[in-house]
Amino acid sequence: MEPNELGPLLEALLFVAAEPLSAGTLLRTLDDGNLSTQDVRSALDRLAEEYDAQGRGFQLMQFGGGYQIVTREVHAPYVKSFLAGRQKARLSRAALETIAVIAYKQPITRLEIERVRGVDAGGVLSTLLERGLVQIKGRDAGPGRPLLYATTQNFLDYFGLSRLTDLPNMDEITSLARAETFAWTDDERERMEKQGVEPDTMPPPVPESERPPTALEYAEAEGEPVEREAIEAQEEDRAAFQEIVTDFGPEVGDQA
Amino acid sequence: MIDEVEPTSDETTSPVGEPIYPMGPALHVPADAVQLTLLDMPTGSAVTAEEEEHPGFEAKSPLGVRLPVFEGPLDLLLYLIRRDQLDIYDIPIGHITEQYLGMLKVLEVLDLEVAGDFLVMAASLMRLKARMLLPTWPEGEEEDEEDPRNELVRQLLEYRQFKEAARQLQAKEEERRLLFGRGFIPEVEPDHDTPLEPVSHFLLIDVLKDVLARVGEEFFYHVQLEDVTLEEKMELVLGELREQGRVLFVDLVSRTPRRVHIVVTFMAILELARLGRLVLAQEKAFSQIWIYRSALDVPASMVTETSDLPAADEPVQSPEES
Repeated sequence: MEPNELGPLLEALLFVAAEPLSAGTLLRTLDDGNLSTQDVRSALDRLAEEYDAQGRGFQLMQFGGGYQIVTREVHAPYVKSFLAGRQKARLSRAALETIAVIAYKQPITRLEIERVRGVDAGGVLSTLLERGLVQIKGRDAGPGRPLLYATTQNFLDYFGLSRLTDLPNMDEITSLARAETFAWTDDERERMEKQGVEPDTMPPPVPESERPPTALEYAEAEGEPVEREAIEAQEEDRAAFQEIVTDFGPEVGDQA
Repeated sequence: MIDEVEPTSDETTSPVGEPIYPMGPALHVPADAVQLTLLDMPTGSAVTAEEEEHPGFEAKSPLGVRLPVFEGPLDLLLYLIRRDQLDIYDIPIGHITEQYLGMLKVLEVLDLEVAGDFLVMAASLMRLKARMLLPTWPEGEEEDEEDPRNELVRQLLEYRQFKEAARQLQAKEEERRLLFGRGFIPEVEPDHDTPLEPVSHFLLIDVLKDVLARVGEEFFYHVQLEDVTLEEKMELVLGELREQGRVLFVDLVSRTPRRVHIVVTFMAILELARLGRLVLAQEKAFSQIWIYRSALDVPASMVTETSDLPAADEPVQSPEES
């Protein structure tokens, strides 16, 4: 097969497909002994580049180890209104948390999921199974031989991931989690803006143990020359700000 | 506002200073324990005006208090740790237990159902609190004895991590939802011309009843061995279908006036349907029920367009025969 024939042919297959097609599936369909998956992949890459260069309304993307022709983000509002709510509902927070636990710890038993989240997982698990985002991978060797859950190809597709290693790195998440715990919530931001405070100029409430050293402490520890005035001004801001912060934190059941 | 949520009658009638047994024998006890511990807290309303202003409160209750939606006890604990700027590695158990129970109380006052998971955590917190209060015996000398809070800290840190992971996944979900693939087929409006509808067993039984009614009661009982077998009738039905392509259900069943034959034929049809060797279909609700040999034997034209539906008396050729 001529290389210039391969592109249009793959395009035809991708055009009719409703799901991502892997290079292997495409190769098998072509049934051409002279071609390798690498040929298919590079033809697909060329196709993707063409679409981008020509500014087409669709693009070739990789999800769950397969290739799929999808619309472009810029057109999403129009496509969405055309489809008029026929898109599946978003996952609930409970479902997102559950699938996050499964994704990073798979294969995993229901008990372990419940231990991590501290709540019953039965209902959420069956929703995830129904939506094809989670599958039963087998049974654990432990007592009772509990079922083991794992994510599916569909999971990768749903979150726009090509493979499991595309999941956000756990170390990154750990530091983000720390930062997030002490970031202003949307609610607080709203309230601060009402009071005329720009949230981004204010450090969120970080407890001593997790608080990075202040500029002054850092400078002193490093033995660097200290721009005292600037730092003190900062500290003053901070103190003034703490008063506003305390307004946000009423104590439940702790009235004198 | 404050008066509306003044302590409930439970509180005023319960004996003050009752010892607390959070880890009672039965699982339902912690609910009581929650009630009792609340007595230890300073009196006054559980909900203050400020609370309405509280950050993170999301759900609106009839009282106008906004409550945060917590995914579980760990989520609630993280919220409290963040709100009170506690050190997650050195949690003041007394304080957090009090706050936690206070929150549960608010949920209760608002008549929101407090899930069992929350109560289980309340119990473990109180147990932790008790363990922290116990003096350590010098002769115990177990230097390595772990801080009883460590397990909770580990759990909180791990949960916090996955909570963030969920947030990251949500962002991915949002991104992905902006990209549409093929396969969004417009939903077909329920079309009145839809040619064939599946037939329920109940309808079949209804029709059988009609047929039986038509035959009428048999008044004379002949003691006679009826040599009817299911296999025989199944063969008969299949033979009929092989010849005709399709048969009207009523015709097939009422071919013989004998009840036993009718019943066995009916059973044969059910059995063949179960085995997938014939298909029951009708043009629309309450119309004639047709029997086809199998799903493959239903002419494609019949499934898609009504106009192509052959007249009832016109035998339909199955593809295998043509």
